[in-house]
Amino acid sequence: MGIAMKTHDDTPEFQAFLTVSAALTGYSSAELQGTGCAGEYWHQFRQVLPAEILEEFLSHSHELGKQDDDRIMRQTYLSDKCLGPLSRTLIQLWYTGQWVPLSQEWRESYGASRFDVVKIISTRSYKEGLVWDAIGAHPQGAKRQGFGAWGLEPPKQRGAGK
Amino acid sequence: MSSKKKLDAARKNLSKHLQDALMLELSTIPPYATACYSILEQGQYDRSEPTIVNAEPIEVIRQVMVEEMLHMVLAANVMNAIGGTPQLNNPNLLPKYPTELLNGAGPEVRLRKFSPKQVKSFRKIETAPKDLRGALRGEYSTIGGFYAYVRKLLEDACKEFGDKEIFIGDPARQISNDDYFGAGGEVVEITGTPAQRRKAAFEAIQKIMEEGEGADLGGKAGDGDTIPGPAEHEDIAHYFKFNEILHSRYYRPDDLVTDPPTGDDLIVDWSAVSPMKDDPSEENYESAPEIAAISTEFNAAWSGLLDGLHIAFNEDKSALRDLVPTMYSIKSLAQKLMRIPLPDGSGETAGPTWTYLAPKKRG
Amino acid sequence: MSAIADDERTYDVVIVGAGFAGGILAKELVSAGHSVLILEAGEDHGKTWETYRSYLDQYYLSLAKTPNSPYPNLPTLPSPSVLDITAVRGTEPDTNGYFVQRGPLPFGSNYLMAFGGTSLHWLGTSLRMMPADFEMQSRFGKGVDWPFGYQDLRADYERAEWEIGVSADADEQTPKALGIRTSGRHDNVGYFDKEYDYPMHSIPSSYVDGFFAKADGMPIEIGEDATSTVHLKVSRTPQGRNSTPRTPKTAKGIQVGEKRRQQFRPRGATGPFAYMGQRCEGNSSCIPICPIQAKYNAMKTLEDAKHKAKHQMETITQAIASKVELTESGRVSGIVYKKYPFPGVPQHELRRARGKQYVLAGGAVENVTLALASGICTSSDELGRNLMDHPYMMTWGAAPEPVGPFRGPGSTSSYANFRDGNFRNKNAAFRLEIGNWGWNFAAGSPNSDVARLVEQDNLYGTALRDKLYHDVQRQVRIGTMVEQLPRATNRVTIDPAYRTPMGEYRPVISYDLDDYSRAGLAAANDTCAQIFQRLGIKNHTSYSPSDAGYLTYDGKGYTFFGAGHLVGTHRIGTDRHNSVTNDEMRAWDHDNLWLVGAGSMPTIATSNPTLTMSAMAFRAARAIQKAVRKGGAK
Repeated sequence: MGIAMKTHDDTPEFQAFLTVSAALTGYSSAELQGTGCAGEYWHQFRQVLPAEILEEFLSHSHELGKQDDDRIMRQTYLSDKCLGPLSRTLIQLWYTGQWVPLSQEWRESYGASRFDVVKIISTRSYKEGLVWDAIGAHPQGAKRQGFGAWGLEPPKQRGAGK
Repeated sequence: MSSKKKLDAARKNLSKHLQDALMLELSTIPPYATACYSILEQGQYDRSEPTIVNAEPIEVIRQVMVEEMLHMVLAANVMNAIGGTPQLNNPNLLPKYPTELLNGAGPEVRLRKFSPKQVKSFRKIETAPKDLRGALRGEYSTIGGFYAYVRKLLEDACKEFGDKEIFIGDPARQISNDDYFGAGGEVVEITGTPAQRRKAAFEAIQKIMEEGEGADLGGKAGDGDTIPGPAEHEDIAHYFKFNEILHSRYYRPDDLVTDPPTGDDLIVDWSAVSPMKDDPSEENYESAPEIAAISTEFNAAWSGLLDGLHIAFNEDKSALRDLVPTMYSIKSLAQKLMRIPLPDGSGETAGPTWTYLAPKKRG
Repeated sequence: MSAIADDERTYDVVIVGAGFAGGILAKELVSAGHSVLILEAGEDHGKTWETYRSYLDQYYLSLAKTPNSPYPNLPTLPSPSVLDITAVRGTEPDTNGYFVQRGPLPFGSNYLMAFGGTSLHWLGTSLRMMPADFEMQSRFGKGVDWPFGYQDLRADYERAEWEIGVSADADEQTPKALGIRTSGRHDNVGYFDKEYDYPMHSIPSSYVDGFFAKADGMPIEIGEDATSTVHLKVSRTPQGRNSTPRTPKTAKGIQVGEKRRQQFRPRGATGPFAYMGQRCEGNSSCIPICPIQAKYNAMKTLEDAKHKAKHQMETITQAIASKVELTESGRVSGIVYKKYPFPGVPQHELRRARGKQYVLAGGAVENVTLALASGICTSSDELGRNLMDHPYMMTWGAAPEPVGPFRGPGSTSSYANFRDGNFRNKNAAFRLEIGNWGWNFAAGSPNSDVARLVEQDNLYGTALRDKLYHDVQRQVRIGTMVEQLPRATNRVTIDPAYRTPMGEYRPVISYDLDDYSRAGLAAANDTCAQIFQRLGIKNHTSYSPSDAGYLTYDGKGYTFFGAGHLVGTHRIGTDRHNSVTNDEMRAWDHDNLWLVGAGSMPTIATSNPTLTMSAMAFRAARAIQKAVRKGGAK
């Protein structure tokens, strides 16, 4: 297992993956890279997805950031039979560090992968799950807040939505 | 000069030097923290090969950092004991990196990732002076020399004006172990009769010196503190802690300062480190607003910490307790920055700039 | 059968089990100059910091973060798991997990077989019992009386609190200060010695505690007697986790047992991490693992013992005690154990440990299976009976405002008001524990919230972030722990049909809740409903007949879980007909055998049993010391 982390991947595919991930999660692409998990998740995503579906998934990234992102996200991604389940799995991957397997129905229609199994990707992915930041807490068992922090006012929501 | 004026001048001079001491201790924290946080925690335990990489150097640097924070508290206690006003959030006094310690007379400190070069520079910071003759005249270039001079200033002032005229600060301002327990050791409270306060003040200064360079301890690496636990081994001074990392080996408390450490292995992997840009600055993020936003969040937290310390030392000690989560959020924001590649294609990552922001600039 | 190899050395005392009780016994006995051998069935989980860290990683990677999840579960040495609990239906026992469950209700508790025992994943709650708890038969006609009273155990409570390192303030912990209308008029008098206090100050209350404290003073009717009405009070819980050490009021120090003690020095983590864990840092994962060991575990006491006299203290891990052997006169002559070199592989060597005195300290279930397998302690027929736990029922809801959950120790406060009172002649006493981790135990939060909002509510992006914050920040949860009475039919037995791959007997458990406990659950449920009404908490609690621990009382359904408090199976008593051991935990049937642990407790009452069990270990240690000396003179 290589420990040195490759931080830099400027391929258009990876950038597109970050762009769609950012729209799905509500976290900026810098925040996503700040988890240190982007590379691992990209790897997992590519392992599970057949090439043409991966291409389809990434191909709409350039449409984002222009005007009606919500329409694109709902229409092109979330309500699509193929991309919808993938999007929901990807959101959960970023939020919990855990891969949620696709349904049997999806696999039959679009292809099965032996990497499509339930698992926490790594110890880091558990600790960097966005859910902990979103709920105003810290991952249980890591990123401790210090003695007595539990008695303080609940933290304000970080990067609160508009 | 009337004796009143002389007394005022002496107090002012002492205060100035103790303020320098505060800033000195504070200045070491960002470089130490940056190096410590640049060590990747991922892969500390590798299942296929059960060795743990870099958990130990992280812990060694962490111990040094928390002792530096303790030293800051000790310096503030001494300053408050003589009626000074510790300043923690004055942008004109705060360090900007790279900087040279001791107002230019001391070693250079930079914000860099964990590397042998950087740890060697830390070791230099904690190097004991060869002798104190120059230092006692105010010509110092080491932290040990500087504190020897501060000690002498305090001695002279007590001798000339009497303890009662020097220790005029409000005892209620003293940070106690109840306010600060669990972070780097025992606080020395400077309270009691003027003579007791003098004794305690020297004890506080002595503690800073021993934990830093171990200078006055007769050629041993030990710093006189006891490591918690049933074996009650003696801890070692900062200089030697950094040396342990460089040698990949722990000291034993009775190792001689002149010899390399002879204790157990301390495993270091210099490659499991985030490739952070040296001395990162806000200019690096001008074309990357997403990174700039996180950097601002970091600086806002850092500024909040400094404001909190200022309040704790000057108004309300209980502010200290509320700072603990801020310290930890500084850590996780720094680590976040150090994982984000800079848009310049260099392969280097962003990093914390440790810049004090005025309250209205904190986003 | 292969030949049994005898260990070379004969020890003063052989102890089975390196947990809470075994640790204290070893430290006390070694300190008194005796030689001690500990046989531990499990692996050494944390003596070296590398292995302790690896268990932390296992926790991060576990999909279900159950109490045992960080620690290896060897197929050859299974520990009971909460994931194995299913409803017991029909006449066939449920053999899913390690326990063979005969029902009618599933026994939901677990423990850990490892160096350090279940102390590795306890919550840290360190409550003393109430005076009434020792006199249940005389005061209420329920259960049994203990052979001694609260005052007889008080000094040992002090010793245990200083050994564990309990954070609390004595003036907050008297029955009166807790808001308890005690059943005895003088129960409050001398609850603490005047010269005594806990080694460390209270763990600070959580923000959640402060939210619940808004209901303080609210009257709650309990029982039929109007004078029993209590006024709610949130009180801080004594906890075995490091806080700020108390500075003694005078130079003489603090009176602990017969000794004056100077300021307590908190013990942190092991190895190069000694500077960590001297104070709780809010990792919010006490169950199942404290990353910095700021929470007490028995490894600390065991390390002290080792340090006191290196050559007097021997520990053999991966050594499963298999049979207690007797001489013709009924004295124990040796303990046969299976030493396995490779964890998970059944291959082993049979060895025999010898000592002057023998102690079973492997927990309330394992002590019994070993004793039953050895055919010992039979004369009272109480061995294995009277199994008790705290049936644990959760009530959860959404507060009207953010309360900052998922921060700090699992629980820092409780409503202790219902721990005693005249109502105990009708229904069980209980304690309402305030949870700090939202609906984590109750509903798998926060991961389940992500799944729900993404898969059902079709949220994404910033709206998902907003809703997560909104929902989870409001999550509150109360855990009810209700007392059980000793019942002969709640019992652990063995059956040759059920064995582990190592050939050891698996515990066969019959378990039920009587109406006394069910009435307690119902009263607690009503109380929680009132608290929710008072604080404007939207109730989200749901109990389903498909839950493994579903039961009904008075036409209403409830779901309970185990609390991991296994008590009562080898109780102390006044004579050989009503108990397995005497009040010093010496077996009535075997002069040099002792059974020590929570299994010794005749009643469970409302306190988590660890502190009482630890106090009793000090009591046993004194008696064993005497027995060793006397034996030596023979």
